[in-house]
Amino acid sequence: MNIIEIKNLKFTYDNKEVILDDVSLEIKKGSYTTIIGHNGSGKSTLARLIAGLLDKSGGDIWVNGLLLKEENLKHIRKEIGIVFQNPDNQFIGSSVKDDIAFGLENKCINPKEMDDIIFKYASRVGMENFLDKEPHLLSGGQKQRVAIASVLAINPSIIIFDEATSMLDPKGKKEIKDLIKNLHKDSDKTIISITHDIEEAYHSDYIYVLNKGKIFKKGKPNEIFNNSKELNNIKLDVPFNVKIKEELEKNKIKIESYNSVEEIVENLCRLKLKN
Amino acid sequence: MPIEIEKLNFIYAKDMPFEYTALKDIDLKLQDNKFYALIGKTGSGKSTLIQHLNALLIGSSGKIKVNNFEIYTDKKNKNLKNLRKEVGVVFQFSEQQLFEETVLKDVMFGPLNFKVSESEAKAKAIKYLKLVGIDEKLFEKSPFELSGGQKRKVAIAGILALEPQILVLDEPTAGLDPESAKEILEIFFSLNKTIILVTHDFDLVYSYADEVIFLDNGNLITKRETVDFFTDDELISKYQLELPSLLNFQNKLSEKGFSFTKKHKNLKDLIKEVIYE
Amino acid sequence: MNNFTIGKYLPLDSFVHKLDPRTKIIMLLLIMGAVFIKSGWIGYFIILGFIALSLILSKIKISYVLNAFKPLIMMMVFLIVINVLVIKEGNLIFSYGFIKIYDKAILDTLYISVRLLIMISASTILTMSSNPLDLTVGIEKLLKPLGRFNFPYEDVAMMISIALRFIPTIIEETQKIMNAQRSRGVDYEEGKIKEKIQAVLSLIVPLFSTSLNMAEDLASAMEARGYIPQEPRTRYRDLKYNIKDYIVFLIGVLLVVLLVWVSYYAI
Repeated sequence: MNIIEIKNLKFTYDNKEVILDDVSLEIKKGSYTTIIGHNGSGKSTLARLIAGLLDKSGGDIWVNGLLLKEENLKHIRKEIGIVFQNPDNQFIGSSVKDDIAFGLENKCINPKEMDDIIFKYASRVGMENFLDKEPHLLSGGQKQRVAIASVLAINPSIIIFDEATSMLDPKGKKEIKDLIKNLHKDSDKTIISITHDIEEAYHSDYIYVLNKGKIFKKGKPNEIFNNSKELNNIKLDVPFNVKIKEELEKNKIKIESYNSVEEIVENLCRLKLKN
Repeated sequence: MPIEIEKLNFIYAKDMPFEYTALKDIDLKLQDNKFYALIGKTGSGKSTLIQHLNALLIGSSGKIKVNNFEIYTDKKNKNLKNLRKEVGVVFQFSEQQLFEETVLKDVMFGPLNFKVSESEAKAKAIKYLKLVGIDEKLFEKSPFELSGGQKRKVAIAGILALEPQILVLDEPTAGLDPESAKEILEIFFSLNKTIILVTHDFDLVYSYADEVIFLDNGNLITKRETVDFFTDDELISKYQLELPSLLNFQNKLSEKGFSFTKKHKNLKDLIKEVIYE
Repeated sequence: MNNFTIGKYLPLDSFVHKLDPRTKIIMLLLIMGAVFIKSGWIGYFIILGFIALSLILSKIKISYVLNAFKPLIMMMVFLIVINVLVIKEGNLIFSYGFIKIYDKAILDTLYISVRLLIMISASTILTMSSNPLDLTVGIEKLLKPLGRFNFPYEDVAMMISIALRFIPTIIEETQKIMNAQRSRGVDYEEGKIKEKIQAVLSLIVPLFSTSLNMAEDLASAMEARGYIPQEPRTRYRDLKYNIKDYIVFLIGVLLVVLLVWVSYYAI
C-alpha cells in the first residue's frame, strides 16, 4: 500500500524559478525511502511540500489516502513528523524535556501524563539522562536525537529526515543513522530520508534521484548505483564498493556480487585461486 | 619554518565556575608548503588551536611564532593585522560572512581592509572568483541571491584574495554535495601554500594530506606522515579511529594473502597491483 | 565572552530559589515602585537592607551581582556627569570656567545612582535565582488577566521563551561572524569612522541573515510539531504558590507600608 502518492507536483519560487517540475512518486507504507540529489536539486522543497509547510504550485499530494489541502492540513500534519538539518534551529524548548513537551502541549495532552511520555521517547533515543540539559550544552548529534524524540512523541506514521545528519560529525552521523535504521526495523513507521549520504541511501529500500527539480532515476539501491558516470554527471557520488567494482571492470574483471567490501575481497580471492 | 608553537596552553572562562583547559602544552612545528590534516573528535581542541594561529584567541601561556611574527601570551599584541594577512582562515559554513552588496565587493572587502589599492583589490577579486569557478555574470549580483555552493565559493575567494601564505580550512566542504565538495577541495590542492585542513573525512586525509596532526582532549597526541599514522594499529585501536576506506580494503586483501609493495593512496593503483602483480 | 554570564540563572538550592517566580516578579515590581516613594535616605537604607537580606537568602555570591554592574558603569558615569552639570539648584560649591557644580546636583545624582543600584541588583537577584522557563510561565500567568482585554498574553509568553532559548545561540553566531570578519582584516576596536561603519555592517548584515534563517527554520519546526498560534494548548510546566510565598508577599506589602509611613512622618 502506498502511504504517499504524488502526482505531477510543481513548485515555483516567486513565480519565476522552477524548483520542482512535474514530480510524481509513490512511497510504500513502512518502507525506508531515500531521496538523493545535489545541492539545489529541490529535494528539501519536496520534503517541505509533503509536510504541508509550503504551498505547491501545481499537482497533488495524497497522504494516507487524504488529499493535501487546507481543510486536511491539520490532520495530515499529525501523520507526518519531520527532522530538519540544523540541530540548533529546531530545538524549540529551553531544555531537553521542554523540547519534547512542546509537541505534546500542542496536542493538548494532559500535563500529568507528559513526564511519562517524555521519559519514554527520551529513552528511545538514549537521552533519558539529559532531560534537564539546555541545548547549548549538548552536541549536534545529541540535539538531533532530541529532535527525533520530539517527533516520535507526537506519534506520526511517517517521519521525514531532511538532511538530518549533514551538519554532524562522524560520531553524530553514525548515531543518527543507526537510530533511523533501528526505527525502521522496530516500528511500522514509514521513513523518508533526504540525504547526501550515499552509504545511507545504499542501505535503504528504495531511492529517488532528483536532478534540477525532476526525478532523474528511481529504483532499488543496486539499480541506482550501477552507473557512476551517470551519477557523477549530476554531481552525485557512488559508494566505495561500487567504485571498486567499476575500477575492476575497467581492467576487464567482472565479479558476481559487490554488496560490501568483504564480499568483493572474497570474490577476488576466488578469482586469484582460479588463475 | 612558518609555524612554531611551544608549550601552548589555553584555558576557557578562567576563574569562572565552568573553567576548563582546552589546549594543554601543545608543541608543534609546521613546514612551508605542506598539506596538514588536523583531526580529532568534536571538542578535542581543533577549533581552539586554529583560532590561535591568527590570534583570534590568545593563549593563556606558551609561545607562537608564525613566519617570524610572534604572538605573545603575556603582553599586549600589536599589529595583529599583519599576522592575519599571513594566515587566511576559511571557517565552517563560511558563506555566513558574506555581507556586501555585490559578490565582487565582498571578495574585495578583505584586501581593502589590508590597505590594498582599490584597483588591485578588484583585480585580485576577479582572479580568485574565476579560480573558484564563479561565472562573471554573477559578479554584480548580491551574494544572497546565489545558491549554497556558490556562496561558499565566494566566501572562499574572499579569503584567497588576501593571498595568505598559510591557509587554515575548518571543514570547508561541510554540508555540500559530494561534487561541489570535490571541486572546492581541488582548488585548495592546486595552490602552492601551507594548508592546515580540519576535517573528519579520513578518506580525504588519506589520499591528500602529507601529514596528520591528531588532537585528543586538548592534547597533541601525534604529528606524523599520513600513511605512518593510519598504519599504527596500536594508536588506531586506542582512539577507536575508523580506517580510510582504501586502506581498509587493502588490509582486507592482505589478510587474504594478497601482497603489496606499498600502501596505495588511490584506488586505481591499488587495483592495478591486485591484478597485475 | 565571559561577560555574557551576567544575570544568568545559577541553579542553587536556597529559600529565594524555591519561591514561586510570580512572587519574585511581584516583589521586584514592589521594589521598583518603592524606590520612587519619597522616603529619603532612611527609605533607601530600608530597601537596601531588604535586598541584602534577599541576597543572603539566595546564597548568590555578592561578586556575581557586582559583575552585573560592570557593563553599566559607563552609562552611570555618563548619567552622573550630565546630572552634575545640568542641575543648577542649591548652593554653588565648585566653579571652574563654565563648569559650575551645585550641592543639590550632587545630592540628586547620588539619589539616582542609589536607585539604579537598587533596581539593577534586585533584577539580577531575580534572574539569577529563577529558572528562565519558570520565569516565563510566571510572566504568562501574571499577564493572563489581561487576556480579557484581548491582550495576546500567550503569544507574548511564547516570544519571551523563544528569545530566552535563542540568546546563547545568537551570541555564539555573533562570535563566529566576528572571528570570520577579523580574519578578513576587520578591526572592531580601532579605525576611522568609515571603517567602523563598515566593521559594524560586516557583523550586522550576516547576523541579520543568519537570524532570519534561524527564524524560518524555527517556524517550520514549530508548525511541523503542530503549533498553531491562538489555538488552545496545555502547559507542561505549572506553578503553585505555597506558604512561603504568602509570607514573602506579606513582607513585601509591609515594606511598602513602612516606606509610605516614613515618607509622611519621618522626614
